[in-house]
Amino acid sequence: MDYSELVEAINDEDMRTANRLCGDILPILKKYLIATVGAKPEDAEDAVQRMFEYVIPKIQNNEIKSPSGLLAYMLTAARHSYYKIKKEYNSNKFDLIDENLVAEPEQPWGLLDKEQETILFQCIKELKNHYKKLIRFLFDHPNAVSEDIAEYFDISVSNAWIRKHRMIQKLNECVRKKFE
Amino acid sequence: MKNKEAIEVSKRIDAYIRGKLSKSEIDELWLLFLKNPVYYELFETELHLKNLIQKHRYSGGLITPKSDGYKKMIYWSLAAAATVIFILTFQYYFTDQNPELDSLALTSITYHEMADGSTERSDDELTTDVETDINRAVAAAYMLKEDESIELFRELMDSVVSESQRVRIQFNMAILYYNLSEYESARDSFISVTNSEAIDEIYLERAWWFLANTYLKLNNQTEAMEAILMVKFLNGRNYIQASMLYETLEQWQM
Repeated sequence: MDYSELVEAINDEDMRTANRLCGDILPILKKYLIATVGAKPEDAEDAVQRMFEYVIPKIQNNEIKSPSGLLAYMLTAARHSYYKIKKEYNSNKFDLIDENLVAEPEQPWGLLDKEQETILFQCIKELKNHYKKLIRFLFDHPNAVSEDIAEYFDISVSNAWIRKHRMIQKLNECVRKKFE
Repeated sequence: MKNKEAIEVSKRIDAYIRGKLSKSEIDELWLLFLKNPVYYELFETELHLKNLIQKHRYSGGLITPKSDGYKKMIYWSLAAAATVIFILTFQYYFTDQNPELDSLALTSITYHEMADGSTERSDDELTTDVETDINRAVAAAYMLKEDESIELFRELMDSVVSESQRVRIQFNMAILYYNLSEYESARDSFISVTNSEAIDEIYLERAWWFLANTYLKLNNQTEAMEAILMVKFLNGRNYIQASMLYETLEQWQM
């Protein structure tokens, strides 16, 4: 998705399109903050909203020189917006919060959702045999990498990646359908 | 979504979940998620799958041993379930054996599954000595000295002072037999474990699961399915595995 369209919409004052495009990326930006800086969902929402309030006037004032780099800019701006919120919350406790001092989670486990897990479990049971064999292998070997899959199923490593990717695709399609 | 690109993203997602990406690589990946939200969905699905796998791996350690009364309740519930299963099995009974059953079974059982000796000291010196010896035999298995481990367990069987010790030794020996491809001995030992009232629920569920796999190795689909139903009934950490395996076996049966 090319977000130069967002720049155009804002410059043309087409707020309907602009709102739709912002609405499309808002959930992912929120999850980015939850996963990378351990933000609580409500703080992440607040930070992303503030980021939009900061970035949109910049677009209107033609301060964004590279529309294709807008998304990368938004990621950074959302993170800084979150640090600013944390700094405000903690202003009585600390004089300064450096973003480098905020412990960042290395892995995105904060994104886990109980309902999604339950649905995924149902979808695993609905997988075709071909993929069930792979799932069983992964459950038997929790730390298996693609090389292990390749060796076990006697296929090439690239085919192991493809098989795993397709299985995830199937599971994802199933999860999506059940959520609809 | 181009297939080649999708596989590359899949590799990066895998590395991210394993904690192998740098901060800048993580941001690059999130940029891709923003550009193509389908990649984000794939990431979320893989993350949840990985979590399910890890939970399956660690859940054994979270289950605490239950009181004697609870164990008795489980035992009698199992007895009732066994009756139902017997009827179901009778209905499904068939004589054709499937040559591929063996391929569905666990290739081996990790020795981390073994039942350790209790680390709590007992007033009875003999009890404590046996617990120490159980740990010694388990340690030999960890070092892949299976023959030595079995020998130690056999000797211990003559000196056990409680049913709890006997059943843990039997369980550990069954695992060793399984890994040494002595499936009939493994079957007999696992059956002995599942018949005991002195076994902790955590090991009971594992024993049924390993027994099911042993039956697969012995090419006995009917008994394997019966054992899998027990695993499902106990609803422990092997539930997902058991459900999937049962469905596969059911399809093979048709």
